[in-house]
Amino acid sequence: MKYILQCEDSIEGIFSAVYSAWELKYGHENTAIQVLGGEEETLELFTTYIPLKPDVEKAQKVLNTIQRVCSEAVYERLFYAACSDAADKADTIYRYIQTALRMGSRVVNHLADPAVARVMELSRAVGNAQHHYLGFLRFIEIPEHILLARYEPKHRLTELIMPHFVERFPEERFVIWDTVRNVTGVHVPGESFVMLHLTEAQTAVLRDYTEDNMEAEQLWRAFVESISIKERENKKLQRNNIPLHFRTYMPEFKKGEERP
Amino acid sequence: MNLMEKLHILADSAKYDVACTSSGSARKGVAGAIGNSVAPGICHTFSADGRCISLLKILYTNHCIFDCKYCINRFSNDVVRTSFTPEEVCTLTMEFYRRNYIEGLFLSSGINHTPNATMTEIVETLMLLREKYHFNGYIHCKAIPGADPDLVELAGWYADRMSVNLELPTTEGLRALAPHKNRKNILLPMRQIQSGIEENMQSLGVQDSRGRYWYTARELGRKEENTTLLLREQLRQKLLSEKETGGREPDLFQEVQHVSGTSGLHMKKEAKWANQQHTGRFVPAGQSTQMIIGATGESDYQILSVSEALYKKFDLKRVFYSAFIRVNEDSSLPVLPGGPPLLREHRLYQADWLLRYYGFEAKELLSENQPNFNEFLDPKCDWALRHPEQFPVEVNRADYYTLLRVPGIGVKSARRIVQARKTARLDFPDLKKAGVVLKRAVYFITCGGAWYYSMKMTQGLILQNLLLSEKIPKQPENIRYEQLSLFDGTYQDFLCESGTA
Repeated sequence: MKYILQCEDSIEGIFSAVYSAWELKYGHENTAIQVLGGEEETLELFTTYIPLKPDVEKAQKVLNTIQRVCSEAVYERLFYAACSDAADKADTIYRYIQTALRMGSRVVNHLADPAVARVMELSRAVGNAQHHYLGFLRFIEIPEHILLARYEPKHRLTELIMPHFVERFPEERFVIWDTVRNVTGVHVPGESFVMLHLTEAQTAVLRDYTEDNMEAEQLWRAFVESISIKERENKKLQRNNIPLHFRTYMPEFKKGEERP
Repeated sequence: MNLMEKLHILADSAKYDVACTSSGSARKGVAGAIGNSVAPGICHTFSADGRCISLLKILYTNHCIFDCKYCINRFSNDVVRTSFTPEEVCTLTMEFYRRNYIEGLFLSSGINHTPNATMTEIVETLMLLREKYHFNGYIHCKAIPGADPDLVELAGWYADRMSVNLELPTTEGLRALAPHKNRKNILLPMRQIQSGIEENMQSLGVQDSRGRYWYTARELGRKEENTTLLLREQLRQKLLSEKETGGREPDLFQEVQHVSGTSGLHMKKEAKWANQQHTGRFVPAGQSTQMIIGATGESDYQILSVSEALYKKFDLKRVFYSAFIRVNEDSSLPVLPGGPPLLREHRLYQADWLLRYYGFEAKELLSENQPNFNEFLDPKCDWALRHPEQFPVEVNRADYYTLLRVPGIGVKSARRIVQARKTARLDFPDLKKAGVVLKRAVYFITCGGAWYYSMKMTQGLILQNLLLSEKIPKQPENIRYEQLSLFDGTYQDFLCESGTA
């Protein structure tokens, strides 16, 4: 008999499922964890599905154990992996923790273990995407000098990129909106940041904003155009460096508008 | 003229400057200001030529009293001339920065009236940006050759990075194409900035403004003491090179002997911003330079030797190479039928990395007899093929810098190998996971004593595979069974060379 624990797609959700996997004692080889996605999964035969609610206390216990037995670095890697959009991430994290509890902090280098290698792969992909968006994210100014950034990240990145912008713009009021997951990070001067889910009505308002100061956008487009060297033109290289999916909200790639 | 037109002209004139990096400076954000800077730098977009845009790269003015033959802004050219005001530069920087378009400002300039007048305008702009607009992001600015050292120093208290362009690799080249510039005027501010950085680091007890070359040399130095093997290798190299070049240093070394240090930092009190910050750093991201490739007749060996000397003697962070683009009709400029020598530029960058990160020396990669890079092979592959005695490298035992010499193994994968083998013995699939490019590496490494291919590989066959293989050739298909024709001399040559007969 096989058991699949289904959990919420968050670090708390995954960690509390890991706790339950130990608690339920079905044996690690008979147990798997998967996150509940939006789409319906194909169900397997001869398998019991156990949906779980996230439990902060259980998640905290797992976190404490990882920090005690392993290290902060191990936790950070798992956190990044948990932000990934890969379907196998929850089970990979579960397998990783099994090895981690045996090996302690040395686990990060034990790439011969498939789960350890996979977690490294996932966390690296998330880390790379995070770094890309530090540069590719674009803000527009909306009324009352509020800055608004919209983006469509593949992974759940908002919590990861917020600290950078909070440090960079301490005196600005700004909102970063992940339009895929409908989550926002919000900063006001003097504070850190909060994560907010948006209601339908709120998204409708945010969606329609355009840049208040069009001149800034036009100047930027003029700059990007002028700085390129015609004799070296290489669109393929450009596409390698900044793939099309990043460009949706970047004014320099807006089509159809003539430069004044 | 409105701001849009000015931006068009002054960004267009700045585009030939290569550097757009925002790296090397880690500065926290502070309340009441805007901006921070992160050590690895951040690319914000890429222009149609595929180059990274990280900074607002503009000239302050394209008025110029100099007449450098290769430059679009030389004074004998009939182009529209304009200048920004300091306020305009600040507005652009701030509006772009708030929207996360850029990492900061890169301010260069034509020489308007005199070097001092130009440098003054640059310094004024930086002051305004830092002190009135409270801009705490990245700034790269030029030191204008021939400007007063006090002005250069003052700029250094406001900027993260400074650069002085070498323009052309040799003094002769400079004399031919940039008659108003001279090598001494270029090297003087470079030396001044270097000693300023050194003094500033010493007073704070830090090392963080040094170039990568310095770290690599230091690490290799430490290794020399421990490893007899390396000592022996070094001795061999030394004997070899003395035979080869007669131990000749590039001419740059001779020149810098005359360029001595300056009187030290004394302008800090004038720079309010540097005193506001709790650190007070002088050019914390170090300095860089650039030279034009292919406008004059230097060989790759000469160019790379100059770079090496710059890294050694001036502790530069980066040397940038700029493939010559013929923007002016001038009889003293070469006509390059294939367009800008982009591949050559690419090979020089690869070699530059080998100097700074991999611990190679210029004379290992090239020599008087082989003064230019192979167009078909990257410099490391080329070197490896010429040095079969260094291989195979056993990945489970070899030290970091030996791993780095293997084609297909880079800085990241070498580091991962060193980490991963602490817990497990590595085999070829593990190397792939660590990011090693196996299609290049397999000919040069063993895992636990075993080769990837069980057949004997000679130089010729390796070369052939490196050139042909986009994917790793599977072993059996790799051997070509073809009908041999008797008396076919060329084919026999191939067989002797590849050793499959």
